Amino acid sequence: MMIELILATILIPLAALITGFFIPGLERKVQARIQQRIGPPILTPGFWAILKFFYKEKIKPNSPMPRLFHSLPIIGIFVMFFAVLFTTPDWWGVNALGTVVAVVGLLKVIEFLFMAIGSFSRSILSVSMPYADQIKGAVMKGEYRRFFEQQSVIRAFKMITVGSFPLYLAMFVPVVLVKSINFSDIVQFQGFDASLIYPGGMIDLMYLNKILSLKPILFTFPGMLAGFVYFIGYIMLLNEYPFSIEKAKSDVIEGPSLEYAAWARGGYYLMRESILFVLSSVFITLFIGLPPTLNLPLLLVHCLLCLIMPILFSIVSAFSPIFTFKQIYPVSMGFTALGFLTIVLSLLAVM
Amino acid sequence: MGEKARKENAEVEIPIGLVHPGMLEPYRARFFVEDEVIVDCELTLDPYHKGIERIMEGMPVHKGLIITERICGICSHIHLWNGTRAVERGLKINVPERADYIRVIMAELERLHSHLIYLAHATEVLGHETMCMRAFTLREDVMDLLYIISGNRVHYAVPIIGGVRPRCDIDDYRMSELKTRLSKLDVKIGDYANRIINDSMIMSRVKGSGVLTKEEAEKYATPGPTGRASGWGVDLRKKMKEYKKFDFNVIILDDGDNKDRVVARALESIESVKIIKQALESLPSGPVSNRSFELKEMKFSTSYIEAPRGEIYDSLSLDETGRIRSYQNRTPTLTALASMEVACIGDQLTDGMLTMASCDPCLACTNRAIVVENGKEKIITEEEVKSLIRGGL
Amino acid sequence: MLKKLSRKNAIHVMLFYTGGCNGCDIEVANVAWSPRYDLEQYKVILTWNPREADVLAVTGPVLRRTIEPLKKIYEAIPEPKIVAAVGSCGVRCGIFKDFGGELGDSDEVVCRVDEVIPVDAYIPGCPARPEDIIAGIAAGIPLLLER
Repeated sequence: MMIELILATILIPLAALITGFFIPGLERKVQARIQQRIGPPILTPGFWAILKFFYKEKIKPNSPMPRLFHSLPIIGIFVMFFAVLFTTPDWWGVNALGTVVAVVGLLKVIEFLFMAIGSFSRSILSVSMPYADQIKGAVMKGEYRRFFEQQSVIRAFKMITVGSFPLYLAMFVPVVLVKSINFSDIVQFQGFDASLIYPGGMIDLMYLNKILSLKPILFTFPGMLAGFVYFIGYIMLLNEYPFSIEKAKSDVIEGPSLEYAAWARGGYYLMRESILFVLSSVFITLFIGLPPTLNLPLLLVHCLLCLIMPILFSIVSAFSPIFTFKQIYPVSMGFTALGFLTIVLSLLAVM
Repeated sequence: MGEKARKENAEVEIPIGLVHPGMLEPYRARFFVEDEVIVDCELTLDPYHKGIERIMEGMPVHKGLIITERICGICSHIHLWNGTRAVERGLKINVPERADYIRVIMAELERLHSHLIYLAHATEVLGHETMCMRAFTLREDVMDLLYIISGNRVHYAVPIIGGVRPRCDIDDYRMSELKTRLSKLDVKIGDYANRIINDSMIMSRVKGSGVLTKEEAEKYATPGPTGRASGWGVDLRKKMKEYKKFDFNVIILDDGDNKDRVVARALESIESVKIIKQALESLPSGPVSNRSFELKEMKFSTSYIEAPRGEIYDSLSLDETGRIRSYQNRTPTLTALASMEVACIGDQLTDGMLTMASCDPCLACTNRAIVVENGKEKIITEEEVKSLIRGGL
Repeated sequence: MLKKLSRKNAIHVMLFYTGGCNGCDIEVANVAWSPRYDLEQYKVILTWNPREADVLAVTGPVLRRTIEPLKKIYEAIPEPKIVAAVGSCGVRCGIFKDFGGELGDSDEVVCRVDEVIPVDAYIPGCPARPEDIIAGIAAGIPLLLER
């Protein structure tokens, strides 16, 4: 028991990290092929870029609290590792936190982290550019001058209030269908028996039978709708095109993370990769019924299935412009309504 | 929304700095914003001032006209043509017909490549990288043609005083290349424009934002396709003697929002391909340059021309040995940006950046026109500019 | 060894324009966004943030208003870094200085790029061709690996 717990705590976040190295490269490669060009090698944006940032000179960022500013991505990475560990069967016996509500709480922390990062950053690219603005004859109307990152923080706040409904509504559809918030009940409903993991040890070649005997929620009608709403909520939480107003290149250049350099930027990229992995992994656990386990072939299948959602969303991103709030409010309300409809349908299906 | 939405006090100022991906040139824009809605804005362009008009004083005129090409990296041929045209009109030099045709062909090729850069830039500011790359792919054919005719991708140096450089003459190889590459280009540009219009995500951003009404366009003298998309303006090509033999339409649209500015330039590109095909068919034979002239003292001589962005005004005067005594150049982006400062009020901040980019700004060319008369400075007023444009050349 | 491998496999370029005619900027944009030249396949990515960049590509002669921003942005890039001066305006102020007129030069064009910051790669041309820009950045990479 103890050994498996320690092995799970080390091995599964490691698998998450390694899968995360491939995801940004796959995104750029798929978009490049749509744009009819060759595109970067798959490991370059995800792995070699991070390693290169670790070897750069350490600088002091322009920030009112530099040490807190540098530690925020590390907090984000640990929060995401806990989210993966809560869905692992070995941890369900240790604490009572293997529930959907705990994962939702951790994701809220991540949404807030972007706002915190932006409030501490003061890049040279906007207000402090050495240029004589306030001189005789200039227009002097604003009461104060705002940096790019602070504008991003306000936009992130609006996105949290409006754009987080679709994801969380879709996450609660399996809860309604199974009538329980525990991950152990949800995966058991779909045919995955956690007690049968280890008859053959960590390498069990009967994994194919176990996978084929699953009955996923995704293949029922409320499950399909919920999967679609989850996908849109996934794009909104990651701030990718078309919902990337927080990091829009045409006015705020890069958003909250402008002042990260050297190892902190490597940490920021790692945080983004772990968010990408965790959101896909939670989807596979909830809707297909295959959690990340210590059984190595099953873990490999889980990681490969996690690569499908980033590829799908990069196809959608390649064909869309940036939406402003004039378009985000109606689109988000529409998908929220669809999410409510799905929950009503699943309530009717259960009765 | 325009001037009616301008307010006296604003909450926040967001300065957008010298280095920014919104426009590929150094500029400083300060937006005064209240909860993402723009209530006023101010653009300063003075990082770019190089003093070109002063560098050219005292140069021999053949050498000095080389600098006019490097005023801008996109519309380079039209500045050089305008300068030589001013000298030829002042000294009454006769230009052979074949040279005029070749100058028109180069100008229309340049208009094509400039409008394609505009389409790529506007979609990049929208956030749609895929359409940006498709526009750059379409543009490569035109760049190849420019390279084949003149030897360089930008800064072609085709006109000289009295005609066209003999090495840029259109022989059989160049004629066949032009005909094959241009045969499908107007269909492709039409498909690209259709693809933008039928995409509802792009249209929701572009339609109804950055509206410039006809009265505002007249008040601020908006030049070129930007003004014609609001229903105001003329196309100077219809009044130039070099374009009299060609048959093409002038594109004037009604709404004045961002969508009309994009559509106007796409339609103008199709008209440009039409003009080039007509010019290739009826290319007259004969010499390409007339070098039998003498440089002597020339008083103030002016020339107006239609560049891809609007009207350009050039004036030159020479002294007895043929050196430039003074040179003025006034480019259209000055008033185009002034109108866009008004048009972006009332929209959200991201739409405001799109409006600034939608007037196709070329900040490198923008100068102010100052006339020196008898040793005293006189700034040309807006009434004089308007009457000069409407009255003729 | 891992240090050199990672520096060779991922390079970020930032573009700074100090006031040329904009021809070289359009050629750099061509290199990054045109599928014919496609900089990303050579493991080079275009960025607009100095904190992320390794290579600074400077175009244009240095004008009076852009000297201070050039110095500040150069200082904001963390080591190791190289600078590439693109175009004949970046190399020697091109046509805007020392052109031989009777009245001399203009006061607005102050100096060359390498009098303000140290330059490692010079890419001539008016404008610099896209193939030359790629070759010039590639020629500066061995310097990056040694620092």
